[in-house]
Amino acid sequence: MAKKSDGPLWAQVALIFLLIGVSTASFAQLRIDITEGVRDAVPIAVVPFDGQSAQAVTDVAAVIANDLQMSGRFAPLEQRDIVARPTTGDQIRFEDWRLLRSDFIVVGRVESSGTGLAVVYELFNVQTGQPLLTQRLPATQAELRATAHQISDAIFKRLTGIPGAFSTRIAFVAVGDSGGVKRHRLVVADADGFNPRTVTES
Amino acid sequence: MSGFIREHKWPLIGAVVLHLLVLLAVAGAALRWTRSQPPVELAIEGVVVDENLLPRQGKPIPLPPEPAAPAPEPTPTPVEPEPEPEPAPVEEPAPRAVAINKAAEAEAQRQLAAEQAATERREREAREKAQAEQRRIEEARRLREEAEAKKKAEEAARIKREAEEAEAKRKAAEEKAAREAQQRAAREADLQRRLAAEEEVAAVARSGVMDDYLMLLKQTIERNWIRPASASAGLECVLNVTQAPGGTVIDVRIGRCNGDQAVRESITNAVYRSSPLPAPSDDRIFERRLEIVFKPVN
Repeated sequence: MAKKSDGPLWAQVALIFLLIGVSTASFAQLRIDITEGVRDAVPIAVVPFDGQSAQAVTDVAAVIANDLQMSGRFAPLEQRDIVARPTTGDQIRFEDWRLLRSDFIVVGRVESSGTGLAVVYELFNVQTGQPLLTQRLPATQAELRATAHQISDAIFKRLTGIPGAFSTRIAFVAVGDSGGVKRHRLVVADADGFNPRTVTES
Repeated sequence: MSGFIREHKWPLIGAVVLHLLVLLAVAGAALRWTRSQPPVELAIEGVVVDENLLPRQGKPIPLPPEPAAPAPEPTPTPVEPEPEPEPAPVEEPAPRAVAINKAAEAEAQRQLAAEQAATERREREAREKAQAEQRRIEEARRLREEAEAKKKAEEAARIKREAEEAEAKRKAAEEKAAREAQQRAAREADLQRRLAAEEEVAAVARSGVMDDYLMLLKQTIERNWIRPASASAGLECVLNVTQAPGGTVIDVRIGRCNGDQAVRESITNAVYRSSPLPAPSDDRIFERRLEIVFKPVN
């Protein structure tokens, strides 16, 4: 540094402050520009819902996890890796799920509601611990699968910014061969391929 | 005083002459007395009278006729016997004259004594008065001196106090100046130190270490940013990140951002997923605070 500068005192002081200002501006906070990301699937844990027996016709959590995985944008945690079974937000130990490298977690339960049922679920950000989505959906036993698809849609929309299509149906033509004769069938099914119904066949 | 003397000149002279005469007579008698009766002491009245009586007591008969004799001729006798005693110094033959003489002497002596007593009394009174006056003056002087001494002491105390106050003030001012100088020096030293440190950091940064560190941070976070579909070109979001010395992410705050919820979620998680952040190869360029700008180019 200028130990013996010749300028007047005020000039030295001004120089010092100028230097401090410049250096502060450059070094007090490092700036990093992020211009790219990856197109990886987002890791998410869908914990089996409470109030569902093993013999239940529709496993809501499994339907949701399947939907999210089918979209290609999410990587649901493998069932065997899900060691804890929280069913409400206050039961979640976020550090555990961080160790499992999950970014998000879905917990929920199926409740009796009057004559029918109700599905309650919560979506959390595992890294920040913040709740992102909480819903309670009335349902019947027969409608449970449709309700699960609705939940998938809501989560997908919340996390990707684009509407989900899990409640939609798909139509396809199935070609079968029976005794050398090709048979064509027009089939309509749920988005995940369930509930296929033949609309017409030739 | 002198007027008094002028006015009563003659009576005064007379009185002085009379006094002198009486003194002479007394002196003469006393001379004779002492010569004839050396053993007699100076005691005046008692001794003289006793002496006369004592010889008569020795001859009790001749005494009675004597009192008759002096009665018929009292005046001529004192005149005649006066010259007589001088030619005939024998005392016995003229006892009457001696007695008269002695009475006069006694009278004179009484007067003298009285005067002496009066004089003495006056002198004593004057002395006492003078002494009293002296005492009074001395007392007054003493009081005055005491007052002066007191005043002087107070003045000295005041001066001393003022001097002490001035000294204390001066000392305080000196200390303050010294303290300020010290603080200024400390500030300047601190400034120098910081400048030196920053200069060092700047040197390190110029050497390429900083660029490497920034590149490492960028790559780490980009690898961890799962970019949502809604994160397209034109997006610009600023994150203010605080990291602990080990690189652990402590806090992430979203600043200016034009992305949707999905984007906000994804960029926040990108930083948390990168925790602990990589460390620079030179600790001096470590910064707790990072400004991370998400600005996809396509």
